[in-house]
Amino acid sequence: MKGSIIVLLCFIAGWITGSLTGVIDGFHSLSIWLLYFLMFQVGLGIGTNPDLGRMLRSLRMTDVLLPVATMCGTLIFTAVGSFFISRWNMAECLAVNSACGYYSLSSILVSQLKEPSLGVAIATQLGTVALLANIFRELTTLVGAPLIRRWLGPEAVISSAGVTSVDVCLPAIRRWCGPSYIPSAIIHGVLIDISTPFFISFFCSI
Amino acid sequence: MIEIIGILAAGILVGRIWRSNAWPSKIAGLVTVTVCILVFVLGFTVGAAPAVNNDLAGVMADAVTLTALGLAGSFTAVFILKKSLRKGR
Repeated sequence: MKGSIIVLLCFIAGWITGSLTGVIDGFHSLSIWLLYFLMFQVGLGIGTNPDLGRMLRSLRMTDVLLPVATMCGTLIFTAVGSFFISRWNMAECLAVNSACGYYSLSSILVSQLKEPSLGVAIATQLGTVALLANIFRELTTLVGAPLIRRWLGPEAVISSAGVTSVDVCLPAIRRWCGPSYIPSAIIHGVLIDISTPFFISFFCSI
Repeated sequence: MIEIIGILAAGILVGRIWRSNAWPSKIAGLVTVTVCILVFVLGFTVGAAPAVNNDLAGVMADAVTLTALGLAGSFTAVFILKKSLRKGR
């Protein structure tokens, strides 16, 4: 929760600064290099995880199926629902929602990768939608975990958390679903974490 | 797209090879700082773009709609998964 608030504050601080100063040259190339650095850091984080090998070896079928269900359900509903969103096409809606709660990476990737085709202003708008949509997903899980657990079961809480089932939402999953669901939640988060950059890049390229 | 995936793969490879060293974890630990700077830059771009500022309500509405779609899809898929696993037993 603290992390989400810090990210939101950074966004608001940037917003205020941008509205006061206007466009500054060179900001774009800086953000591209920072994005490359971020992707390298994300890769390092996955590669240096000491439990990655053990987790991959001890995977059960249900552990693999849960993130697959999360991703498939999110993408199918987004694809169908995109017909009711007039401003963005299906691929753009899918790029936003394929992040499954990974707001930091999705907002940046979407705004950078869509810039050549949509232009700075519209790509930034889509990046903002990605940031907010994925923050809302995380907040819904944090706030609504007890109700989701009661009405839809513990797996739904993990699925709702998306990629944050491995970090931010893990304490909520432990509290409302029990410690026995922690391995499932970690594997769910790690698998979505790995797949997210591929999905976003793919949907931004079509 | 290829650059992004390539850099991600390079990071995983470097992290795997030097996972016993301290420096890859230290660099990976700086991810929050990089994200904050990038989100600041994103906010800056949004603030400097009148097209976004003028349509804040529309942006919020799209974000809420997409969140609802994503969550509804996830819940439905989990429900179907649980049902089919129970049937299989």
